[in-house]
Amino acid sequence: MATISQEVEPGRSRWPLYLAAALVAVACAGLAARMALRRAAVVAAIPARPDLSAMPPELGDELGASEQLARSYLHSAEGLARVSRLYHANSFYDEAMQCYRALRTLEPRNARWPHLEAAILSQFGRQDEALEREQFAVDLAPGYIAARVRLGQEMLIANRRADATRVFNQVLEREPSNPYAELGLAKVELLNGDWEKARERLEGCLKKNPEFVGGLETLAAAYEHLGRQPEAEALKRTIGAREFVDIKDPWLDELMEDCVDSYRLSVAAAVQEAAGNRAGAEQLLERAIAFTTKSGSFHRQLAVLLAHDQNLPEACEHLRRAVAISPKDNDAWLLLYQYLGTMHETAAAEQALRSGLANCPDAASLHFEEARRLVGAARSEEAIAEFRLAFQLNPGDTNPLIQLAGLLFSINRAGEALEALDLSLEKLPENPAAISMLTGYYVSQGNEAKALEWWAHVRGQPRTPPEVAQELRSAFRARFGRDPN
Amino acid sequence: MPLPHSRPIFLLAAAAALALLAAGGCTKSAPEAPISVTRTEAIEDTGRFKPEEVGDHYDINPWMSHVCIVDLDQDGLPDILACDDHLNAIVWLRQYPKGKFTESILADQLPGVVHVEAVDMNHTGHLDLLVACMGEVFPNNDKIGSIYILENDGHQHFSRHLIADHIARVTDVQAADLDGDGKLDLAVGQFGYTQGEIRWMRNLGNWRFESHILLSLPGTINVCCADMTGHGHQDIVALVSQQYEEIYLFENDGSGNFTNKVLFGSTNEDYGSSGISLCDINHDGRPDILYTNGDGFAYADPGLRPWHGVQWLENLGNGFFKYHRIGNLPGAYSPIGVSLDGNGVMDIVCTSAFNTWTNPKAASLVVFKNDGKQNFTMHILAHEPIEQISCAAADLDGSGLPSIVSCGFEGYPPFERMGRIVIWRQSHKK
Repeated sequence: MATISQEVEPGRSRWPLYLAAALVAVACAGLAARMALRRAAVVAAIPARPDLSAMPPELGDELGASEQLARSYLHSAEGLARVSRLYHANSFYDEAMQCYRALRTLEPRNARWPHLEAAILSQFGRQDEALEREQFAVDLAPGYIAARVRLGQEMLIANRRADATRVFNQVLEREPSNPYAELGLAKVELLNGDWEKARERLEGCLKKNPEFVGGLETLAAAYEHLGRQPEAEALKRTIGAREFVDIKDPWLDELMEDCVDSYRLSVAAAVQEAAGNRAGAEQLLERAIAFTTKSGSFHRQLAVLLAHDQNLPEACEHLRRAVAISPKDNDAWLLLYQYLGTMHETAAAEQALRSGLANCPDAASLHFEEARRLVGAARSEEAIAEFRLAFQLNPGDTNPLIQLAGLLFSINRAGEALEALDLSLEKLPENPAAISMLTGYYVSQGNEAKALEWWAHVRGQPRTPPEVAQELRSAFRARFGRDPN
Repeated sequence: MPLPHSRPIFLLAAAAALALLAAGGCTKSAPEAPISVTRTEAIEDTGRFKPEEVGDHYDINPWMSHVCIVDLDQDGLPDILACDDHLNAIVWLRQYPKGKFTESILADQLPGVVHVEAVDMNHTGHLDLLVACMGEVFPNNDKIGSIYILENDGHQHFSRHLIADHIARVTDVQAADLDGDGKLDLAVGQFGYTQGEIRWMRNLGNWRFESHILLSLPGTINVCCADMTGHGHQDIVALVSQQYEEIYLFENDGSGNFTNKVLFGSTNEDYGSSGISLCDINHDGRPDILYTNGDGFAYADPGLRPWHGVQWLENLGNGFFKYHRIGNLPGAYSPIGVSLDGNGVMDIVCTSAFNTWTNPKAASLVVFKNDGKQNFTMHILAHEPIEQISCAAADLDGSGLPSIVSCGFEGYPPFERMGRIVIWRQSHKK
């Protein structure tokens, strides 16, 4: 019956269909208008191409493809995001900022854009603006820890210590052992003059994060400030050559995947190495090498990493490429000589040293190695001349004087040896090698007063290796029949 | 139950709303001013100054870490003092007669000497020398720093007073009466390496000083003393680099009790802070802070960073400061305020210690010219000599226009286009 009824009233029965069609058409028009408007906004935001002549052609190609995507109707915002990544990753910061400004409007709930903007602004010292953006990012993505840590750091340097404390505590609520938040709080305490509280906090932090260099350094400072020198020195030894590394920030760190700037990649590799990620560092350096044929230094940097991994043959291969590209790179020649020597390829090593000296006649380090080689060949007079030349070429390095003194003592020219040590101490007071050598010399001469005088220096020098100090102590005891004080 | 008359209206309204929603989100919001962080337009102005290398002949790459201009013998002709880290000495380039500079060693056996300041410490009318020694210029964590005062007998013969030694490497020493007793005390910056300090040293008389630690953080490059707050006492401003990259104000209550405050900091641990100096840029009677970030030693081979540049912190009074970025300059070092035109408008001169030296157009000496309203335009004064790390400016010849003196620390390749101590005289007279 209902069907019959609808047939009887065709107008009434079809209007919903018409209406539905109209609805769909209006909706489609709306969607199309939205896409067109979004696309127009994106197209207007695509930065004018900067001068890319100094960059590898891959960047221009990638930018072209990404800009094309940005000009499409369906994926315009995605395309603009790709453009922003390419510019940011390759240090075209104004262009990246232009993209981020548009992306913030297009995707107002996406915390990534204000966070990345904040990263650029803070890189250029514009902390007030960075703080504002970071606060925005934290509000949008409360769980993104790197942004919150950054916000705390920015508040701290804006002198808003109470706000910084609140933000760092919020980080700890989410990640109870976050070392960067602990360090931030310790720094607030330190600035407030509460060194004991900072010390206590850092000791707790390091129990949970024993390798955190930022914490180790600041705790060493606290120990020193509190007069706890032995603990400070022990921490300094623990730190060694390691450096502070910033918090992992996936949104920022992943930009490196789009970087084609070799120098920037090499800096990123150094940061990764400092963070203990040698494999990541090697990958970044391989990319740095792939993007330039003009610089040998990236081969050298990679060679050092490979050598740390005991891969000396490959390290030498990279060093050979380094010196082929940059024959004046004396550091590369030096490493090549040293690594070949370690591999017992004596002839090749000596050839590398000769070539290095021919290409870099003013390289102190190569003359120093030549001097050492001559010592090994019992050619003392030539070695002495080379040690003196090495010091003359680089008076800031006292190693040639120490080695020279050792050689001179060994050939009974003590007067000259003492002159060399005096000079080394003038250049570098409390030089551990020099004071140890002087102590040993006066012990050997039976001059107890002088031996004790220099032994006091050895004891006061925390960089004296314990085994050297022990050896000197034993020698003293053997010679004078008692322990030195 | 359907509402036959209201349904079409309802559906149309829904469609319209959907269309609006679909098109929504693209409406133009209030336009946001674009931010430029990297653009610094530069004007070639290499004809403005004529360089003249002065001082002794050198065979090896110079290691000069600091230069200043002072009339040491008070004969009316400004002289040049510089720190030579090959010689571990302070050299004096005496100007006599006018326009002729003769170099001599004033004091040697100063390990890693990096800063010298001429001050009449004992009120005799003669300029004594405050000397900061790092012990070793290159990274070292030993306590090998020292402070000397070289007392001038009035004939430029100096007696050496060791004020402190076996301390973290010292980078700067400045004199000011910090406790209001009429005697000049010392503010000391100690870079250290992983451990460093900022201290002030109360002058007890007879060249004896008592240390008070203000902050135990590594990386202090410079300290400056002035009444920064307008409260009538000498405060201390310090620049701390390393991973901190901060400028501190130590506000003095007049008796040597200090309260610290961070005036600026960067969360970029590779910002590369390289120097500060004080200068009343805007002539409001308050000392502002000039600040460069151009240290490229961190991490990889030394080199420039895109964010290296120059900025000033405007002193708003009462311990408040406002940050202004002036411009970008790779490897920016040694900012000094000077009115190059002699008209009182303060320009900012600085050097570039690291740059892309393979590019012959890379700047080594620049001035950021001030239009009088603190809008600055970068003028490149020179492309060589390269790796200039310190500069000073003063009217050397009585012309009414300042000359610039720069010095080079040529610690890294390329060892070419070097300059040990260079005087830059203005090509045009006032």
